[in-house]
Amino acid sequence: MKKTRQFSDSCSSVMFVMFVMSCFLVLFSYTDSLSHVNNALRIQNTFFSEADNDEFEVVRYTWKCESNKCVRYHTNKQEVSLNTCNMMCSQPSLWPKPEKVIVTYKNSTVIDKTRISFNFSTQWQVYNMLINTTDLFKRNLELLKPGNQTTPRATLHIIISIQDSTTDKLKLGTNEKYHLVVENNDNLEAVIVAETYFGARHALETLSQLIWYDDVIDELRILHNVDIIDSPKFPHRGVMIDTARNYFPLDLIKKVVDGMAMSKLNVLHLHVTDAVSFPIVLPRVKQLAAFGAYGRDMIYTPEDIKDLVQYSLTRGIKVLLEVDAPGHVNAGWNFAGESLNKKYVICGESDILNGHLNPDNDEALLVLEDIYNDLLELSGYNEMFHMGSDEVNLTCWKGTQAVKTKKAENSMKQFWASYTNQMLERLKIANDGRYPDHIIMWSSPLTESSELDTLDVKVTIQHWLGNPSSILRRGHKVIYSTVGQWYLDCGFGMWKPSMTSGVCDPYTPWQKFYKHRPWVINGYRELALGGEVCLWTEEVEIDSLETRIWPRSAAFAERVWSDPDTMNDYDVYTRLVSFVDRLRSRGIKSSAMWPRWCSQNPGKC
Amino acid sequence: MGKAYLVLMVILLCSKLYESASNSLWRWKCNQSAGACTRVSGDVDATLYPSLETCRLVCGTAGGLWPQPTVGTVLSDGLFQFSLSSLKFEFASEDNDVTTYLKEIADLFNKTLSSISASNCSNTDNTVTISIVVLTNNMDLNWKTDEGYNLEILTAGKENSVKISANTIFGARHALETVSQLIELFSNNNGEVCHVIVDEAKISDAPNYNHRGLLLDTARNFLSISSIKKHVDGMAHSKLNVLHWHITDSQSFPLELPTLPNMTKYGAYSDSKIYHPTDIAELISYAKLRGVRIIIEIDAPSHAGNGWQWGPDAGLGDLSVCINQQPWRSFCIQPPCGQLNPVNSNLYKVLKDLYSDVINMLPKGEVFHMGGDEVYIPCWNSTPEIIAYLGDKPRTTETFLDLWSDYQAQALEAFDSAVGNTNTPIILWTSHLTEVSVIEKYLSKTRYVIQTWVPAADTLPQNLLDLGYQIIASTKDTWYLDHGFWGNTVYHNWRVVYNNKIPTASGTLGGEVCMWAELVDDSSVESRVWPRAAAAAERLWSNLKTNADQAERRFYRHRERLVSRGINAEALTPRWCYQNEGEC
Repeated sequence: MKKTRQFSDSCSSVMFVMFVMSCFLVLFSYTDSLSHVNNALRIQNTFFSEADNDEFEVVRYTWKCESNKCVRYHTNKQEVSLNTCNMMCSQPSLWPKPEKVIVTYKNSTVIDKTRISFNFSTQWQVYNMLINTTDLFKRNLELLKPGNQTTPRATLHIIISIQDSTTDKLKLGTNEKYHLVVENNDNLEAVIVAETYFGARHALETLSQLIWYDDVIDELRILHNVDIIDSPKFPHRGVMIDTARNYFPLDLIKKVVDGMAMSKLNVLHLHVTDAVSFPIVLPRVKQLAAFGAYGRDMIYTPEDIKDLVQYSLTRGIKVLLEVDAPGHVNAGWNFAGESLNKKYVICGESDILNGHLNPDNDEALLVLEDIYNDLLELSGYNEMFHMGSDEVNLTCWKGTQAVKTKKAENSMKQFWASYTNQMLERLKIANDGRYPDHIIMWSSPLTESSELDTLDVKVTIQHWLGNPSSILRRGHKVIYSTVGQWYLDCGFGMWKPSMTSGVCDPYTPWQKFYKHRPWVINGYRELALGGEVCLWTEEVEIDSLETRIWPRSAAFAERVWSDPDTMNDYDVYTRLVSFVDRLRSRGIKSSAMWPRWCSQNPGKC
Repeated sequence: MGKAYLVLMVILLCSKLYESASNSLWRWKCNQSAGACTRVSGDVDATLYPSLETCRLVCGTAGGLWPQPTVGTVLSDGLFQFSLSSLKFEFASEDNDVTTYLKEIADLFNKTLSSISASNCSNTDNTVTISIVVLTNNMDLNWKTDEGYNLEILTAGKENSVKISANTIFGARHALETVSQLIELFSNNNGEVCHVIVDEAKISDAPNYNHRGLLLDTARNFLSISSIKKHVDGMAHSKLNVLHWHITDSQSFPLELPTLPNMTKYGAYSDSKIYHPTDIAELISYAKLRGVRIIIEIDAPSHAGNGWQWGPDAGLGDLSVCINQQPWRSFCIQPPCGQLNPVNSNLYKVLKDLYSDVINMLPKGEVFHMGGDEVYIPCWNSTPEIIAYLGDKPRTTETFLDLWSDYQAQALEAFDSAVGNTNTPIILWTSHLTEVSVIEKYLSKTRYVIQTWVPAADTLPQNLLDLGYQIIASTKDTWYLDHGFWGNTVYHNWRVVYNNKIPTASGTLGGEVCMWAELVDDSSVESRVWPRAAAAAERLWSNLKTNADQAERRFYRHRERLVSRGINAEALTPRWCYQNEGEC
């Protein structure tokens, strides 16, 4: 082991003796000639991990808790890591913030990642998922502190009790509540009580966030004497990804699911098709992907979708598949005949983006029924169904025979509503003769008008643009995706020459995602199912998918999980930046929030 | 194979293909008069190309080249098929260093081509020979380096020859970069994937500006060496030639200095977030091989805080003042605060050591960037030591500007004594000292090059040129790549970046796009920089009179090229628009 030049200058003989005597059990000082034998917690130091490079001095900081804030100091004897300070000094770094955290006496213990014992009994319905989740829990500890566990440490006993372990599907009303107690009396023990599997997995997520890596001792620590009671404020907490404007491989989408699971988000909404591409291979209508996918390697097979559905469910997330119609269609639909009344899609010849289902060809609705059938089967779930229905360009339909026969020219919206009813009818047939409980449509001129009342079903509105007051007044349930607040794509300018600016510029920083409370602005809190952040992908591809989503979707996640009334800057910034580090430890890419100096100096930026 | 080059034979597709949804139905047709590749389905036609990429290679006057060659470009629409193993290099140069360099860039060329995608081309009799003639032995890359080249491709029977001639190795390197953009993968009707090269071409090319740069800030957030190398790769593929390394700032000092180890001890974020002299040396040679020089900036006297705290303990007094002072808004523009202490004479001794260390890492004669932006007077004006030094002088703005220029003069002296000459060019950002009315009082036009960072509408760059200063333009409202994520700034889309024109007077050395790193680190810096830096690259290399809309097809192709070469460039448009040129 080589020493740095400065190191040998400043080390006293006392230190040298100590060094020889206790080898790794010593902390060194650069400018003082002091040495420090460790107490039990500070056994091993990484001082010499870089010492083979004899060219430079290493940098050491320590953090002290002063007035509930962590303050950085240069140090000769590093005592407290930033992670440890953040965890012990103010509110524990949990994200999203639980409903109720009681810390009776703040204390922590070093744990052994190889000694995690689980104890649970459950019905078979959720057994596999629970096994997977406990494996994931252990894997995440491994990611937090890679390498061998050199010194044996305390065993962490995790006891899980699920009251209803037959619930294996996540629905809107599924109970996600949990109670988590971590104590270190005779044993280091975490006790989890939840109504359903989904609450239990949230509890394990929280428990994993009570464990952190302490780089001073190169060990994992757990906070104990903690009692957490937690449940979400809103049942629908989603991320929407557009896989049509640009394609994203399944493995990358799974990484988004991983981050969502950490954030306790529970809906992955895939806007899977659009006018420009149709990447999903549907067994009943394979031609759509054959003609509509960008390339042979840019498709989702039925197996891919089923795999994603199960992967997500294990992580407490349901997958909502949206094939947008009657607008936003074009690519893929050209497999039909060429004559006008045989075409499935019209108006898309001159402008790819303006394709609409052809109301003069009833077979288009039959294709739609096939699509609905496949989507219901692939998602294995029919409580909620998303029909799309946004941005219908009524001038496209104006010249059609169907409009003329129905004499609907005076009220194109009426025609839109009646066409929507035909689509709903197809959905009903596909769903064995009954409507799904929640049929979702994007907000549009139709949903804002009185024609909304003429729909055969009381639909749920995913509100993105306009004033939602008429929708709320009519008593429709709402999922908020307010453009300018909860859109992840805005801010990158025009993507085609004919545009003069971006569709929804400017970029929305995470603070805005965090602060937005549409149910407070619009009232009718009881009609709000929750919200979704939306990533339209005209200007996003593989590399930037994750950094667009994180950390902003995490900021949103706390809004829909905890819906805090106020924002304490120190608390929120400190917890969020810890969460970002945790995302990164699990291999998820997140944008930087600020210069690292600000992370190291909480409250100083 | 009868004729060696093929004007594209396309296989008949199985008519039931769509049912498997696993094969591409599309083919591309070049409309030469419009310069557009059009996607068509199903047909069998000898003039169709199997991929957009092969069509783009030859479609339009400049095919898929980026940046567009300046003097002249002639491309045939024929393609010559070959296996990479049949590609050979010939070097005419006798000089050892030159030949060594050429061999290395030839290896790099091969590596780039073979990494694009796997080819399974069986050996044919077709051969490609690239011969390179370099006329001078000059190995230095600076503002005077001739980066031009001539390139000719000819095919005779089964032999394709590529002839490159250039005055310098850097011109030859650019020529190879161009050749790599004249080669694509091609699926032939034997089910093989081979390479194809444009069978006949004549290109004469030289850049408009000699300083074509990208600024990376590694102080706000640290960037790993591997991330920096990726940027150098992207620069090489786009013919940018200056990496301006804003290596330190008030937040951190990650550059290890052998004589001043305290700088990183006090200033680095952690022991893994340090650039060692060996890293710098390796990067410099990595970059040189890619036609890129590295200019180091140690920003001062402002933007200097963390790393400078050790003065008092070392008995040198405060080297920097206001370090990490709170509330920061009273002492600096951005937290954490810190500004060098101009009245402490020990500072200049430390600066001399600092400059010495940096100079030792750089090629002989390399220019140096002293920063010099955003001095915040209230910091100095609240520091007792400085107030005492000023004594009876009225503490007006002018007094502080004089103090600042005294600092600058002494810093220059320290640099000159470290380097051992008095003519190394020094770059400074525009600041209060560079206002048209005062610059001649404060800064010598023979020593300083001014990097302007004003909006496009500001006349300062032109005014400085009129006064006889040399400038580097970093147009703030188009070439600041950090904009759009903070305050009221807006994101500068690639079209805006491309359309920015900078002065053409001879004093304009060139320009730089700037990646300030408050809101980026390794996770997003690549997609924030690329492909927008490449848009600036064509402005600086070709400076075409046309705007982004005319460059769109080539630029979309270049973005894909960057991605295929491992640079995570941001998406520009739905893929449909890439596959259907001109239809969005």
